[in-house]
This record gives sequence, C-alpha cells and structure tokens, in this order.
Amino acid sequence: MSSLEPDVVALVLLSRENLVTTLARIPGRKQLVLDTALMRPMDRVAGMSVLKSAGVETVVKQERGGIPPAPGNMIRVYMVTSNLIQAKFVADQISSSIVNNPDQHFHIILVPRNLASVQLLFEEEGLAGHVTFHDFSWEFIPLDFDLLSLEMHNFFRNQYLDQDHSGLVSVARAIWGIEKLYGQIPNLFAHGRHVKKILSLVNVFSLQYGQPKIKQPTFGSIFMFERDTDWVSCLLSPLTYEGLLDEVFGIHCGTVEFGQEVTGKEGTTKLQLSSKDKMFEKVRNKHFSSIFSVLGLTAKQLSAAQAAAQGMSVDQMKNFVQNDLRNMKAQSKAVALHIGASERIQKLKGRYFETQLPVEHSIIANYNYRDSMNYIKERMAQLAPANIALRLICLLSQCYDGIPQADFSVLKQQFVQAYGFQHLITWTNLTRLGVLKLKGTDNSKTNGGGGTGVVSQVAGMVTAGARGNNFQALVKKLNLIPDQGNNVNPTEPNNPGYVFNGAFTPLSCKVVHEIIKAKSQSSPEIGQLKEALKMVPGETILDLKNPDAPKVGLVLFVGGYTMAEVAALRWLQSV
Amino acid sequence: TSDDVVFEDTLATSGSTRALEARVKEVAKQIAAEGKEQEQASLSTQVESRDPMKLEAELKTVRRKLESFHVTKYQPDPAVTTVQNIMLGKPFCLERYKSLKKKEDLLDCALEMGDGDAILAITLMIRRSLNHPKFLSVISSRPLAANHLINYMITRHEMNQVIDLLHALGRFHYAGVVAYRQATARGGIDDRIRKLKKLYHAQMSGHEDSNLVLEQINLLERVSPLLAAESQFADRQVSNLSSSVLQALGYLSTWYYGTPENNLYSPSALIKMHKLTRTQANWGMVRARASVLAWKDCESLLVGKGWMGGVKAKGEVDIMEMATVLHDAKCPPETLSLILQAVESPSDRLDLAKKLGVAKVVVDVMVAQKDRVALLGYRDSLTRSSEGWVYADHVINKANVKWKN
Repeated sequence: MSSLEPDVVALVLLSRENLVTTLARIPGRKQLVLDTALMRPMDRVAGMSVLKSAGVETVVKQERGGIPPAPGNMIRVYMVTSNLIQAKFVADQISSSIVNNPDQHFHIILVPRNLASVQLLFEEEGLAGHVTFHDFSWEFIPLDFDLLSLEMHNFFRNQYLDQDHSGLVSVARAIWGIEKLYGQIPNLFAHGRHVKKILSLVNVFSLQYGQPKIKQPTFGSIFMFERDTDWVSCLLSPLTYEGLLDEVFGIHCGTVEFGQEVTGKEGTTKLQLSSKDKMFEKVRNKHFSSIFSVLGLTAKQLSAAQAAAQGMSVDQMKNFVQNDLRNMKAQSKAVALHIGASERIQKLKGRYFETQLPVEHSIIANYNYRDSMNYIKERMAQLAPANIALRLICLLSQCYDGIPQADFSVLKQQFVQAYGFQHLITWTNLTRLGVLKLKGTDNSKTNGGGGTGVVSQVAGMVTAGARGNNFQALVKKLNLIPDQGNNVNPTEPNNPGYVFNGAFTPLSCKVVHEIIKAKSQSSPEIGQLKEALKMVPGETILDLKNPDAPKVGLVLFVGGYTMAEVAALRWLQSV
Repeated sequence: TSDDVVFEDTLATSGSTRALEARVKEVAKQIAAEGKEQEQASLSTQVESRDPMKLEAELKTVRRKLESFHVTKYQPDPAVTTVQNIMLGKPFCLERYKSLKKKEDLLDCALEMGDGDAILAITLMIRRSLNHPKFLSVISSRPLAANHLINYMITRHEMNQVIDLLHALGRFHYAGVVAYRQATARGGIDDRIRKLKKLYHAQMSGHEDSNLVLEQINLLERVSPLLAAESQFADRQVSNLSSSVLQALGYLSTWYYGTPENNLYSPSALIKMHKLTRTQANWGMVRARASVLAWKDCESLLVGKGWMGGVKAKGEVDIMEMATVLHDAKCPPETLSLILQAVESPSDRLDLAKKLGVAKVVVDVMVAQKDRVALLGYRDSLTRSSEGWVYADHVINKANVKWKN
C-alpha cells in the first residue's frame, strides 16, 4: 500500500468512537437487541469487545415475535434500521412488555438517523413516554483498501422508487465525515438530479460540526454519479470474476456465502472477498474466460509454497507459524472455494451466455431489433429465468430510448403470462424508475419528479441513429462502444469495455478518464463532455480548483455500484 | 462456523497510525460536542463592575428582553432553522406555523433543501392542520411532497385514503396499481377473483392494464374448480395452475393433454382463451410432454414433412434451443436426430449435433459436405465400436461417395 493512498482504517476508528459515545449516553448495563440487517456492517465496525467497553453485556438478534426480557436490571437498547416497518415491530414488543411492567424504559438507536415518522408512530401508540431515541450512523465502511460502502440497503428503493429523500442527509453526512478526516477535496465533478442538494446538505454539516481543517488533503478529486445516470451498466451481464460472483451468489458487505453446490458440504460457508486474499486479488477483475487458467496457475504456486515450508529451519518455522501459517491455511481454503464457485458459475451462466451476450451487444449497438425481440419472446415462452428476459427488455428500452407502444404491450403481456400477473407491479415500478419506458414519453412524467426528457416522434420500427435517441447520441459523443475491430484481449485488456465483453464502457469510467486527462476545466474536451452529459438526466457540476491536487480520486455512486464498474475504474489506474 | 474463511491483516501498524488516531479522536469529539448548549456564566461575573447604576440598567434590559420573549415564544423560527433542526436531529416544533403562507414557505424550504424526513414531517403537519381541499391545493403543486406522503400512506396501510388521494392528484395509473396490489395481497383464490372483479369494474376501467387484470380473472376462474380435485395427487405441482398462464399450460399439458376444448382441463382451450402465440403454446406443450417422456407428441408438435421428403420445423420455436432442451430432458437419440434434421443451416446443424453428441447427424452432414477428412477425425474421436463409431466407419468404407478430400 503506497503512501499516496488513504488509510481507510481511520473511518472504522471514527465509527467506533461515535458508537461508543452514543452507547455511553445510556447509563448502566445494557442488553443490545440488534436488527439482523445491521449485523454484517456492525461486524466490520465494532466487535464484542468494543461494545463491552460501552457497557453492553449481551447482544441479541431482533426477532419479530417476542424476545425474553432483559436479565436482571439491564436496560434494553434496540438498534434498528430507521424505517416504519422495523419501528412497528419494536413498538409492538415494547407494548407487550409494559403490560406486565409499566415502569420500564427503553432506548432505541435508529440507524442511520432519527426520523420524524418513526417518532410519530411511537407517539400514536402511546409509547413516547417509555422510549428515548438516539441515532447512530457509521462512516463509510471499508470493504477493501480501495472500496468503501455506506451499506444503506434501502437507500436505492427509497430514493429512486418511492421518492423518499430522507437518505440524502445520510449520504451528505458521510461525505462530510470523509472530508473531515482526509481534508476538503479540491476538485469536484458531480452529475445527477440530486447532487446539488447533497452538496448543499454537506455544507449544513460543515456549518454545524465544523469545517475540514486539514491543510494537505488526501483526496484530490471527487466524482459523484447518481445511479440513474447509467442503468445500462446495471443491466449488462458482467464478465469479470467478481462481477459474476455477485450475479450468481450475491456479495453482501464484502462477503459471499456458498452453499452445498460449491462446497460439497452441508450448510453454508462464508468467504471474505478482499485484496487480503492474494489469489482473489489476481483474479477478481479478470475476464471470466481466463479464470480457470489463472486459478490453476495460482493453485500450483500455492502448493509449491506449501512444499517449500517443509524445508524450513527452526527460526524460519517460528516466523512462519507466527505470521504466515494462518493466512496460508485461509488461502488454501479460499482457492478451493474459488474453483468450486467458478465451476458453478460456468454451469449456471454458460447455458445461456453463448446466445445472450451477442444479443446484448446488438441491443447496445442498435441493430437487429426484431431479432432481439424474438430472442426475448422465446426465452419467456420457454420459462427461462425471469431476470434474463426482464433485463434484456430494460436494456432494449434504455438503448432505443423507449419501446414502441405495440411492442411494449406485447412484451408486458407475454411476461406476465409467463411469470405471473403480480409482475404488473414489477413493470409499473420499473416504469416509475425510468428504467422501462414507452417510446415517445417524457421522462419527467414518471414519478412526478423533475427530469430532462426528450419527446421522440418516432413510432413503430426503430432504425439505428434515430433522431432523438439520447442514448445513441451519448454513446457516439463519448465513444462508449469499444471499436469492435480492435479485438479485446481478455487477459490483457486494453479497453475498460472488457468488463462487458467489449460491448460497452461504463459511463463513470469514461467520464473519470476524460476529466483526469484534461488540462483545465475550460478545455474543449471538457466542453464536449458537458455537451454529452446533457443526454443524461440530471445536471452537471464541475469545479476543478486545483490541477496540482493529489492524484487520488474518490468515485461516489449514489444509489449503488456494480462490480463491473469497479473493475473498469481499477483498470483505469493501470493506464 | 469454523469453515468460514477470513484473512487477517499482515501489515504491521506504523507510527502514522498514532497521528491518525489523534485525528479521529478530534473529529469524534466535535461530533459529540455538537448540540450541547454553551454554559451560561452567571450574571455577576459578566458584569465587570459592581456599580449599582450599571447593574440597574442591565436588569432593566434583561426584564425587557424577558417580556418580549413571553410575547414571541410562540412565534415560529425561520423556516431554514426548523428544516435544519429536523435534518440534524435537533428538537423542532411545527405547530407554530399557523398561517397558510408560513406553512407553504416552510414546505418549500424543506423541498429546496431536500431532506425527505423534513418534507414528510411538514407535509403531515399540513395535512393535520388544513381542511382537505386546501391541503390538496398545497400538495398538488408540489409533486415531491405528494410522493413522500403517498409512500408514507402506503406503508401505514391507509389504502383507501391513498387511492382517493392519487385520484385527486390525477395519478390514475398508479391508483389502479395500488388498488390491484391491495386486491391481490391476501386471501384464497375465490377471494381474489371476487376482489379482482370488483377492481376491474371500478378502478380499472380505461386503465392500461385492465386487459391483463381480465386475463388474470379468467385464469383464476378456470383453475379454481380444478384445484380441489387436483390436490389429491401428491406428486403433482398443483400450485402451478394458479402461478401463471404458461405454468398452467404446462400443468394441463402434462396431465391432461388432448382433452377436448369444451372441458376446463383442456390445454387447447387455455391457449385459445389467452390467445397464446404458437411459440408460447408449443414451448409449453413440448416441455410438458417431455417431462412425461411422450416423445412422439414432441415430434409431432415440432416437425413435419418438408418438401422433397425431408424434415421441416413447424412449431415456430427456435429449433436449436429446443434441441438443447430436449437433450437435457434426456430424450431418445431418434427423437433428437429428427429435431436436429429440422435445423436448416448445415453448419449450425453440424455444430449442434457435435455439442449434443448425436453422432448419426454429424456423420450425415459430413457426408453431405463430402468431407472425408473431417469424418475420419470425428470417427476417431468416438469410442471404438460404439454405435456412432460403427455408423461413421460404415459410411467411410462405402465406395459410392465422391469425397472432396
């Protein structure tokens, strides 16, 4: 780890300090009842010893039914995600507790912040006198030395689907936390419908808690992208190993859980994914086609290292056992799991990838519309996994700037005929998000929020380069489709589009690349970039104060990131 | 569990960590200190001299301030202050914003700043303290505030009220979807049919999805009487009947294939009622017939006699994908051979036959292409004396083929 890079441990330490401070406000011995959704992130922030130092003697999982009362004279402290559903569970439990013991008083720590609607619920249930509210938010949690996450699982749905904007405050608070620890970031790029609001909320925190005072900032630039600026990167199939792990198994808080199909044993096995796993470090961003050869090579190297351990002197052995043995054992286990996982990925994804990936390519490039439609219809007719058809339909909508009415109705009908009528709701939700669109509809009509849309006059058949197709204009202006003639070598890719099999370069990667290349804010390339970004909903904010700032950038995805985008950005570092 | 894999930090902590920890502690202190009121020094220490005249003047000023405080204590803070207090988790009071203008300004301030919690709290206060028509006029011009309220009402299950609100705001499509959700959330099939019918005639007339709701009613009405009878069969997935149209087709084609159209059990009747395409119908029926090893049925659905006596695909399905599916369902080689012959392009047919291991078809294509070299290679790749090997071998030794190589 070079001296340029920020020591992300500071974030964990700060989260710990804040947690202890919050818990210390509650006097006496405490029983902590923890929301299961918070367990994994809390594991990363504070272990049992930290909690004990703040007076927490036992930790219990929050269950929906009843929990046995706190032993002895311990105070029960609930720590739950701040939403009405969790609040109702807690309120019900407290209501039944005070029936037998009306003098009880409870404490509730809401994560990440106190909400007026939660307080209102407790007031309505007549419980306001029995509870004291606190709030706690962790700083960005390091999942790896270069990957931070706020682990707000409901943020995307709340913000973009339900139009509940209470999460913006927590995002702003977390950004403030970073600037406080690492210095105010001089160069700013942001694009989205809400970035202006987020930045002004950061100011409120600065005024309230103090401006960042550090003279030498660690981060030179921050790049903020809202999730809805690039749906295509979420819809395309990722071809990097880590991306596929996420697709097939799901990566949660930097950990993946494998079942019997991978381990061969009953029960589940958790594997922490980070650069500490030296072998994973080598393969995580690689295109899946080269995975088995790299795994095989690394497994051989590992056996060689283990064999070498046989011929060690006593001193060497002591050192080895102290420092390296445990990690070597972990490494062996990890290699076996990675091999098993790769085989499973091959089995599950290999079945459709051969035909599916070319369809994704042609949709992005806007040709063979009819063939793409037929492909989707066949998959639905044969009851292939629903998300294959749905993702392709959404991709079609994104890349053609909406689906013509007749096709839209047919696809919707065939989809619900195949997968169930409850998906009427799914289609409505995707339309509200703007992921699915009828051709010719204005973006701003969805969800009543502001937005920049373009009304297209084209109906029926869509030809490539149709006038009014925002997506194609964006692709052309920013050159987002890698030159197909230039064969993308999967093992040593010369283009970040390799993460999507050469079909598409994630927008964030392209934008960051253009900005770091630019000599100044007023250069013509930057002008072109701004022009291109007019095709993307939201406004652009660009303020490059200091060209000599440290060459460390923070890329922030508001609403979630994909492993493919992460891989593309990591690739950028090698340029 | 001990099987979980965790890697430990191998890097030793450096001296820079101490500086880091110090920085962290400083920031933490600032966060913790926020909100604590400044200690008020006692008056006598603030006043520099003990001059009675000065003390008297000071006291008069303080009394005047206290009197005016009594007057103003019920007046609202500036909107920005209140909105920021909500955002920072500090105490606030919304009741003081009495006039309509003050309410609107407060809401607009929250909308400008962007904190959803403030927006919702203020909107709820306005709902509580204005009559319905006035309230509607405030939020109908503020869609973001309306969205927050709608989301809240749905979470709190104020279903009828939220549907009314959506109608009042002109959001008819979403009103219909919310009503649909409510109708289908709970209850058995007959309950659901009843609610959907009500919904169809009330909320959904003219709605974009009304035809799909009608389809759902039709499906449920068709399968409802069958469910009780079918549940006696322990080995059948009866729930498929009500899951989706294509699942129901699969079920009926598996167990009741060929039933005449005037019977509820008939797959063809289902196909007709939902106007399924040939593609949808044939996929559903073939997969079902394959699951009960009825290969002849599969064949007759998929292929027919082409001109010149060959085999032609007729099912309007992707025949190559179909071949793969049948292969995975372990269909006999004769059936697979037949299906493969319906693949029009010889190179596609060759590649697929190789992949699925149907030697006879591979050999036939290679013979048609007169490619002796390829055929020799293929024969040698097969297990000696296996059926495929024998067939390939026999063809190679046949004299009357004009090989090109």
